[in-house]
Amino acid sequence: MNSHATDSIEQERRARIILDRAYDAFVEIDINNAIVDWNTRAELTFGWKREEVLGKLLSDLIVPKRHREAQRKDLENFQSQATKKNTISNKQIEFIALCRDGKEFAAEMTVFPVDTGRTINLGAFIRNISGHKIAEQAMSESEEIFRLLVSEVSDYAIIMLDPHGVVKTWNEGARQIEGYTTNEIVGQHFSCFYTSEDKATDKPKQMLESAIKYGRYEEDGQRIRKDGSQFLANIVVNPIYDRHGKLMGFANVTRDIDKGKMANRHFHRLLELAPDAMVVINQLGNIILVNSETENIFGYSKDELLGLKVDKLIPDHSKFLMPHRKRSRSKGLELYALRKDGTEFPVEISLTPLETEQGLLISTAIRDITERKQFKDDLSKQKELFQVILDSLADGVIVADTQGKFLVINRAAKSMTGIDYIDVPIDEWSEKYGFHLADTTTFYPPQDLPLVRAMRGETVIEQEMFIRNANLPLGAWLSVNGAPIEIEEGAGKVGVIVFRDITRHKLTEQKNAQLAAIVESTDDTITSSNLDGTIINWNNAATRMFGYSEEEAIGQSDSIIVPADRLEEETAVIDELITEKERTKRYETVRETKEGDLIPVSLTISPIRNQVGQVIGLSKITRDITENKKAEYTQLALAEELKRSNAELAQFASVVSHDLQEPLRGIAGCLQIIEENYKGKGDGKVDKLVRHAIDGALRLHALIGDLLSLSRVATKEITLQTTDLSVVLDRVLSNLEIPIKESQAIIIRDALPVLAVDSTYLGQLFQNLISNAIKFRADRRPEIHIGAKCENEQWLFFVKDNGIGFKQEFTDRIFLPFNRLHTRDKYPGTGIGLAICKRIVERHNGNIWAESEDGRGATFYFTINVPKGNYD
Amino acid sequence: MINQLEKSMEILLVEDNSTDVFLTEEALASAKIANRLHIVDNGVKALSFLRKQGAYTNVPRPNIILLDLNLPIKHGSEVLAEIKADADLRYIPVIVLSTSSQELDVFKAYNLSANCYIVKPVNFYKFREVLKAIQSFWFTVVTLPS
Repeated sequence: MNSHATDSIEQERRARIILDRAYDAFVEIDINNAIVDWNTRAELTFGWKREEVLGKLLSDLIVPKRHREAQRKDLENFQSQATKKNTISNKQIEFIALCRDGKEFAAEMTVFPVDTGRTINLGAFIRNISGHKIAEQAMSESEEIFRLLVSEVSDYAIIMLDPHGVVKTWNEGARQIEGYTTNEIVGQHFSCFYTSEDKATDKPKQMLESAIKYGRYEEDGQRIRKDGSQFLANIVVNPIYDRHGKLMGFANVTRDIDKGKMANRHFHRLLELAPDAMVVINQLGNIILVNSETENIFGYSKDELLGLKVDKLIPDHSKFLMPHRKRSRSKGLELYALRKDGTEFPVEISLTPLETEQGLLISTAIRDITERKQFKDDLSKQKELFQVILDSLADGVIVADTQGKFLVINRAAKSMTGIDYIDVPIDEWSEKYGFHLADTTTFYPPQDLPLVRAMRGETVIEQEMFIRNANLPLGAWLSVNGAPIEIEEGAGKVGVIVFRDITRHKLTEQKNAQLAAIVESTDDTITSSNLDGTIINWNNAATRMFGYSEEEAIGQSDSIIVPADRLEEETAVIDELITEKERTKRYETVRETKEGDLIPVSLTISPIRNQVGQVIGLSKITRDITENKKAEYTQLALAEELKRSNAELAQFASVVSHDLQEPLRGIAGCLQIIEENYKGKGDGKVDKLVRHAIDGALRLHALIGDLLSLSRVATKEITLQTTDLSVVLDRVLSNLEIPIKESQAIIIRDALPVLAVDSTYLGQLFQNLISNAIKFRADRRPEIHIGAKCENEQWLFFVKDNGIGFKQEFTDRIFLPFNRLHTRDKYPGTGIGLAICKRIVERHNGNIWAESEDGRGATFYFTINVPKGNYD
Repeated sequence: MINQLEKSMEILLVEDNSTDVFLTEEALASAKIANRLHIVDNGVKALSFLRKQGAYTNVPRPNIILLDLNLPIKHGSEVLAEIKADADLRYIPVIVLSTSSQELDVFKAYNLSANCYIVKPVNFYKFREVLKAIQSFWFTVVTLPS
């Protein structure tokens, strides 16, 4: 510390000595122009002692009153500039100095800043320049050196002009560029370098004026050489003043710049202005030009970048470069770039090929898109998420803009609507997509579609529509909500619809409505109750049957219609139904009406199960079976009656056979004894009377016998047995052997089937028919054909003869009992045979009929049903 | 022939209808069938006769019985059953004479061991033929226990 202080004092002492021995006067002033130092030479030059001037204003002391203000300003300006930047160098100021004795002299002041650590003071050496010689000598020396230097410069034409523009000096560069020798041009006006157009607009003069006005003028423009050829030149003009501020002339520096050079300059300027990193590479991929932005982005300096392979910056650059070599531009390639520190970042590059003298160059604009990329990634992530959410929604979502373009149609929407193409004009939506009104057949008016309404700005709530198209041939019901949404302010509205498939709901609804209608309209009483017996449904028929209205019944216990003695039965049935998991139970029971009447009913109870199969209630269908019961009783009574009447009939038959025949035998017997003992012994008339009486008695006997047979066919049980009818026919023909022989009848017989029949009756049937055929024979030899064929699960039998036949009109009468077509004398018989035949066929569930023409034979047909499986 | 006639067959006719009794007597007489005809008009009497009970202690044992089924008090089929159940009487041939041609009646009679069943013909001449046939068969063709 101590030594420092000592050093500092020592330095100041030395500085003072130097200052006091200095050839020039030295003053130091503070920022207020107040004198803080004043050396010995200053005392000698101005006549003021150091002690006298300290604290006084310098300008007041040494400058005549008329220059004082200007001089002080100059100093202040210099001082303030010095305060702003430390680098300012000295400044020479010439002024008129004033001495203590009032004498004035030309002085030159060299001013420089003195940093005191607190403020910037000014130091100034002041010299009396009234003694010219020395100064002028020094001046011409330096001028000569400068002139030599300028004359040897060949790249630039350096021309000195006088204040009017006349050429004063001419250097080597001017000769090479302009083509004139010094002798040819000195003394000429510089406007000879300009084109006639420039001269016409007085450009040379304006140029000089601009130089004066702005202190400097620069331009690139056309110039004319001595040989008349034009060239592009860069021209800088500076005005030159003498030490008194008088215009001495102009320094005109001209540089020849060819087109390439000029383009280059422009190019460089543009490169620097570009917001992107610009990298120009040659065909080898080496960087030959970069701008400052490249340094900023990649972290390399310009020197490091030049000559570097572009791959160092953008690894994939060459890959993308290749296809674009052929002069086409390519924009917006997104690649990754590497900084000097090895970090990666996303860039977008644009390549532009440049044809130059050096061959094909590629200009690459590189933009750091880290932020944009981040934004884009976020956006696409968001979009993806949005899509995933949309597609995982069970509801369909469609968004369309006002032109009807689908912006969004999610997965559910596609599957629900079957829409798989979306470029359809709004007016054709209903037809192409199959949108229908609720009637399922009318196309939805396009302007009323929920989506269209939403697009118009309306809100749609739970609009039902039916959709049917090629992808949904069965159709589907949709419930649609719609609303307009404003996506961006001022960008207009879009329509959004959100919908769900309500087909199942709709079908259930329809089914329920149908069921309800059926339940209400049916004549069957349908009620339901929950498990504790509370009535929850009661249809119209229930009201009619029981007398309780729906309002009265619902909520009541269903025991109101169950007679007290049937309650237990009901509970047992329900328990069984639930525990045995049966679908329904049906049983007959009794119900009680509001009036207390008892009704016999058939009751069908079904459990009502919920979705998990638990029984939650019971449905009951009650049918009034009063009529059934009545019918049942009637039927029973009828059957009983029938039984009794059959028994009576059997009794009757027995009575007929015994009690009716016995007296008849007595009558006939007695008459015959009379006939035998007294014939021819009296009046011949008596014999005749006895004969008629006997005939009558015998015929009565035959009639009673036939009647008995007929009643027996009607009442006797028939026994169906598998019977070979050929065998039956054999027996019949053998029974009729005698009449066949006597009549010489020809019998033709086809094969007959084996059927389940009563063989006794069938025998009797055949026998009656065949004996009739013999009995009613014509004059010719009888021919009787017996046959059968199977038709429509029936066997059709026939007995055909060539006898006398009968008129077709009698065909029905002949089957009635005791009906005869002929006299007894000609064809004996009681007329009961065909009636018996009819009975026998009917008891086999068949039919019998006859076809005939009078005198041309007759055919009797009868059918026997074939009980399944009994014939093979 | 004379031998047989002299043998004088004992016939028991069980018949309640007097006309039938008359016709039977007439037929037998006109057919010249030698016999001693005993007549009872109901089933109870028939059994008494056969067992020589009551009024019938001195009657002969019949060689053949002509039995009508339609009898008062005791039906012919009951009489038949009792005869055939009686070890002492069962070998006497019983010829059922009935006006019924019903199968059931026929079946029942044979089931009760009737020796034969004949439907009485209404025609008197035929009736006489039947009686002749009975006489020739049972009295000459077959051998009966004595």
